[in-house]
Amino acid sequence: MDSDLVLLSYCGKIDFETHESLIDQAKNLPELNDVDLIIKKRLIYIIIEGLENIYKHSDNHQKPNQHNYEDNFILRSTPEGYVISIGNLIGSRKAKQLKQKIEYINTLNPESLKKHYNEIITNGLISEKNGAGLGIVRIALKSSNKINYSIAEIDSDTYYFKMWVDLPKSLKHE
Amino acid sequence: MINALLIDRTRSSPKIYFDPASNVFEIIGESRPENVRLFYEPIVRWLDDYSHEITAAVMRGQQPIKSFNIDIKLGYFNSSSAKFIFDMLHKIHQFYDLGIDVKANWYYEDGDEDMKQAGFDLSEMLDFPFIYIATPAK
Repeated sequence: MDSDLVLLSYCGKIDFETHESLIDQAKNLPELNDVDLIIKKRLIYIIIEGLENIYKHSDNHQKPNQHNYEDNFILRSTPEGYVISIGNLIGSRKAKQLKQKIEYINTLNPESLKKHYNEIITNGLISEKNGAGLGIVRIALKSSNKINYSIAEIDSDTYYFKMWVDLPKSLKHE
Repeated sequence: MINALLIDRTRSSPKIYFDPASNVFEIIGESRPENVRLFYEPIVRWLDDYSHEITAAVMRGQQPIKSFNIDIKLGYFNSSSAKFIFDMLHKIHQFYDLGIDVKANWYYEDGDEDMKQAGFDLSEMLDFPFIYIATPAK
């Protein structure tokens, strides 16, 4: 019976070293040995961008008794493909920006998404957090799917952001 | 002549080897450095300095180099790196204006059509024709 399988998961502070370790582990998963190269690389790209999103943008708003709100990463295999999900705490300003950004990206068709990505590459600036604002765009491009997300309020200035994307196991007609 | 630039490869950042003396220019590895600006800005500055050196020579009536070939062999590059890779290649492409025959060789693993496409996209954005070279699948 086909069912979901957790291939890799992590709960706790995700810093750069953790991000590197998880990428290494993902690359070496035996379950990915026979996966088409393009799919495997897209999966790794989504993981790279997703984890980077956490270590660059997670807000450390941890307060006492908030151990349930740690950084979180799960890679699952399903009969249809893979699900990559991440979660982290963010402040209210970021929550609003992320919501707007994801909702905008989800309105774009593949051609417009690529155009948006290319425009940022050619004209965009690298922010103080060393981001180009491209990570989520790239996740959408690589998954060829909408980005699912939730933003749950913990208190007036703290939210828990969760994002998950589906990556099909087979290539669509592209 | 400007000194060569050599940055060793790590698991999250590529080898950068720019050596005007031997006319070898290559970027090899994966690119997702922890601080992408700290990694790439010295490289962009080096290219600016090299460009100034060549420009000064051309204005003196010299032609210090006739051709410039860069090999780009990237396994993965994150989105922040993409911006800097674009900026680097944009500067390199401008060597055309100095009468230099500029070539960029974009390598990709055989079967990795996404990496090949990434090359096409950069080439198109820069109006800079690349040569595409497939390497044996690992």
